[in-house]
Amino acid sequence: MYRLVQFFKRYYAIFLFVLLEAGAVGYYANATSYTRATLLAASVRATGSLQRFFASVGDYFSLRRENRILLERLAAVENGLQAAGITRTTPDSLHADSTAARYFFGTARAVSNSITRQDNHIVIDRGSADGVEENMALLTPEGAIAGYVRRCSEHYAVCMSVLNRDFSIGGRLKGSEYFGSVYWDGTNPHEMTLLDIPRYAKVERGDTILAAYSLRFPPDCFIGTVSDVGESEDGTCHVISIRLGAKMNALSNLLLVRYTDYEELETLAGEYFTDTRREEKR
Amino acid sequence: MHRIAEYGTIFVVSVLLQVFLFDRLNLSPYLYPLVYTAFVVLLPAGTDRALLLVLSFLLGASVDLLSGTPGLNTIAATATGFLRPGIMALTVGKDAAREGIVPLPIDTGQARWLRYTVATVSVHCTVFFLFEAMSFAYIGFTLLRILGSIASTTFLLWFAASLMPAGRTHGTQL
Repeated sequence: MYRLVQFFKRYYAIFLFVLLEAGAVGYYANATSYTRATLLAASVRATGSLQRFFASVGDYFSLRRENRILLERLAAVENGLQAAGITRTTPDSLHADSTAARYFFGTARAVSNSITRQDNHIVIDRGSADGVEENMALLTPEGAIAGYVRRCSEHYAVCMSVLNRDFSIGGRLKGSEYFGSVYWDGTNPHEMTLLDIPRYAKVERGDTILAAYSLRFPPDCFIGTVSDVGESEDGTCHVISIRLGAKMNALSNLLLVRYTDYEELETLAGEYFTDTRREEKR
Repeated sequence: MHRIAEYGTIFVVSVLLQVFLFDRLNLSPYLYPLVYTAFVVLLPAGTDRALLLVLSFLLGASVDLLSGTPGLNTIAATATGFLRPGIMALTVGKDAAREGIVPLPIDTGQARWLRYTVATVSVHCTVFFLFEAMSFAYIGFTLLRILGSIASTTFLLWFAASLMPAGRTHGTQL
């Protein structure tokens, strides 16, 4: 007994280390992107006002650029409405009452955003009280994809960034019917990769890549432009590097998009859409 | 009591700086300083190993809770806390641990302090980025991230340590 006590006294630090480290590794290994979003949502609930303060300080320096983009976007929307013969009457709201429209747009502001990790998230200042729901799309004011809502609290929402290794979406070449899978490999925060486009499809640098067969994002959402074209190991497909359309290191004002038929389609055929068929990679 | 308040402040400040400043800087994937390691690095030599482990664990868990990274910082901080006594004995010397010095450049000497800090930060950054990657697919990229993080963290710790007042050499058990 005495020797046993001596043994524990001598090696107690090792036992304690193994215990604590095993607990941490176990928790990390079993954490999914949903767990991360939940944890972040809980943290934001406690530190939201502080995060909002830091975000407002950052916003001050990008106001001029943001205003220019928003005005350009507004002008484009006004032109579209005029062309379609629609008179704008409703204010910005996610609760807009329309049976014809399938996508409703709202605005949000990023209060936290990371690009230097492998699994990045964006926190926005709109939550369930503002009509935000899980799986709503997140776009930049220019209309480029930035992420989608993963978890929301009353006043905030945690969104999975396109710079997250769990994010994937279908992408197609503009003016072509070929489509493949777009994902982020965790390295360059300005580029994503498009796979599965056959070698006989003509691809050039500067070609536009749009979202394809996505359930969360409106059709033909801008993903980015082709920056480099390589080939797969078996030589049958292109491996296309995409320069992201969204400036992920300068997100501030964002657009939220709600697809009214999301629940119905996700239940019926979620596995057949490019962005909902594979929820967890790890 | 004074010592506990001082280290309590270092704990809180380093966690807040990490979460609200350095996590938000988004400078580059290759420059991701993990400044909260300052707390583990600056704990007095000769701190009880169990206490060192528990404090390191709590430090990592605090950063994880606030930044939504379940377990990643805890894994790295606990490993660093476990290896710190050995690193200190190897780089600063066993006498330092017996005397209970606070590891500051002015007390240990610049060269020895740098060796000690680089070794401690290297353990932390290596564990952190290897667990974050969870794959050897982009090992070159991961190694560059580790090197960039070691350099930026060490520089910031050296800057912080040089701001701390001198004359706290002996008998400073936590």
